[in-house]
Amino acid sequence: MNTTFLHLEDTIRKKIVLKKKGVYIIFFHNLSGNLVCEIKASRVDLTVVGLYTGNKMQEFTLTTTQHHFSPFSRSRLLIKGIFDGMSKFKYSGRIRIEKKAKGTHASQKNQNLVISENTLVDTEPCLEIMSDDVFCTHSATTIQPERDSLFYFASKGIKEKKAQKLILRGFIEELFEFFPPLLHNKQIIKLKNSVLTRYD
Amino acid sequence: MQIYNSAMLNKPPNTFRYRYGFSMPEKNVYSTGVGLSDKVIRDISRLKNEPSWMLDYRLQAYAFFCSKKIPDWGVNLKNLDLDRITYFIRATQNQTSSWEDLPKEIKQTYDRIGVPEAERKFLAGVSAQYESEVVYESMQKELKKKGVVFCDMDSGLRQYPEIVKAYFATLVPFSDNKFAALNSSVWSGGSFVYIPKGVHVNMPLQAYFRMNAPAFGQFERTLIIADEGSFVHYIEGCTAPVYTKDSLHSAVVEIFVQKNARVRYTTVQNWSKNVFNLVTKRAQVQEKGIMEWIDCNLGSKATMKYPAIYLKGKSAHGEVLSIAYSGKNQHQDAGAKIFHIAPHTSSRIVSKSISKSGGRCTYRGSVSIARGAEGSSAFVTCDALLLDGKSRSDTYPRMRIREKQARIHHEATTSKIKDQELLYLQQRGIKKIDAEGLYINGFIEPIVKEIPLEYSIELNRLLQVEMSHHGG
Repeated sequence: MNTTFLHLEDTIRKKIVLKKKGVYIIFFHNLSGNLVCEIKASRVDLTVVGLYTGNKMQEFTLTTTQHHFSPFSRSRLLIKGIFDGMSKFKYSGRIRIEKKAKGTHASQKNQNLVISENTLVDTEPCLEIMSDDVFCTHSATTIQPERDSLFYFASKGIKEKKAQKLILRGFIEELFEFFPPLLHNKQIIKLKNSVLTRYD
Repeated sequence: MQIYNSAMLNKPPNTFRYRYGFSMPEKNVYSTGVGLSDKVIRDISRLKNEPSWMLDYRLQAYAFFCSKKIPDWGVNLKNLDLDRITYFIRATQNQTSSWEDLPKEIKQTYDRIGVPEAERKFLAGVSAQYESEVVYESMQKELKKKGVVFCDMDSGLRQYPEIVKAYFATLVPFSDNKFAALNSSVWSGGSFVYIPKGVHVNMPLQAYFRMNAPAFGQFERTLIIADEGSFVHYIEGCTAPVYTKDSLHSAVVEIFVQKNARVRYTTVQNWSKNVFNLVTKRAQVQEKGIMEWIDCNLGSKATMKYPAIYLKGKSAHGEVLSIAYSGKNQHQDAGAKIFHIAPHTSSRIVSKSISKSGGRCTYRGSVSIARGAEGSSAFVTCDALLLDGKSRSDTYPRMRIREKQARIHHEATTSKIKDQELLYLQQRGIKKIDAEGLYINGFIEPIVKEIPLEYSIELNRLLQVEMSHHGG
């Protein structure tokens, strides 16, 4: 299967139409915009990964749509964000499955870690499903680093500041694990390291 | 809990009949006639001998109602013709506390629904509303001695004007939405419940709502106040005859849960499929109080209902458990709204929906965590089951978080009945149609087990019948 990797760097392109089978991976970091993925072929395996590292007065507004028109395709979406300072994040994600898109497997996941008092996070996911032979899930969590985890570190003699860093690191690394293993893109590794150093 | 007995397994009923679809000859002592105007509202108010503030309130609400458009989101309300509805019908002259004193038609209606029987078996109090007003009311004597008040809203306003004035419309003002305004202008009937400090009402109180006339509008208004440390379980049931003309049911429910109190509100909504059900329900919870909405939407043509909870006191807890079932030509647009205002509040929403034969179920919810509601947690889960390719399921949850120290989780799934699981049951000699029934019973089990046994049996039976219809 062909693997297509798309790293959105400046703006989120409005609409991406997938008309051929294959593996597609879309990645973006700290971008606002509206991403529409229309799946118009069978055996499309789409992965959308978005990372947000907000601080100070940064503001992000993201809208995503996973729109399935054809049967037997898969789409996965993972948006992870760490919000510090006065940063704001508004996300609305949509999965829409048309009648013809039998055997679809679509998932949507949004995880936010809030590490400052003054942040604002709004998530508004929605599922619109017109076909019965499908499996769709979606989940969203917004939490601060868990007290239990911090305590665990403390009991091992790791100070809170260091522990927090480790938790954030783990949170980000998880996102990169979402990519298929065959993807060893230098650009991605570089980006991962640069994001990780930010929280060192 | 045994929810699936062998008799059901052996003999799935072949035809589905809405058991409550019968109608009685329409007899009334007063009706305002078709349509709504200032005069109708003045007539209702005069008939009830209301204080002038209530009439003013009704008229203000009516002006607001006229100024608002019909909502264009949610269910399709294009076929709802508000000019062809009768807004007030008085069925009998006097309210009674004995079934025998009721006019024959009304008594027969409730006998067929099974209300007097349920009252004998497991209820602490019953209020029965027929058309616009409550015709029967009774409560156990011990509760009366303890100071529990359970009466219809009209009597509540007459007997406890100060309490009603202090609480009425403070949670749901008429300006909340068009249908809350409609209810505020023509409300009639409903329940007024007051539970004094520290009183636990162990058996449920039930209100039964019945519409008999065609193209009728029922607008009950319920106010429940649970004082410190008290507990009450309030159940409402609703049915109506099957007519070709559409009816409207638009209620407003306000619940005040004071410190350490707990209120559980169960709805078994089983309107016939020609009823628009547009309801506003809201509860406010003080410190360490608990509010639980248990919401079963099975009937009606179209429902829009989003029970809300304001968690205003520290460590308050709110729960919304709901089941929605949509068959042919039905749209259930239900959900929940929770506002975390105080610290350490927690909430849980569990929603299950089943769509079949072209029915449509929508979950529309919102969870807000205000700044300052530190240590709050919210958990939302919505599962939808689609039984055929014609049906539709939507999920629109919304989360707004303004506080760092909070935990919010949400998850949703939509799927069909898994073939492997059906195969597993079929291997054990269970027919496919029964296997589907079992699967569905399992799917809704987490909510059904929260409902009093008598109702859960009824609910399971009802779904069973609907499903057998589907499988055939």
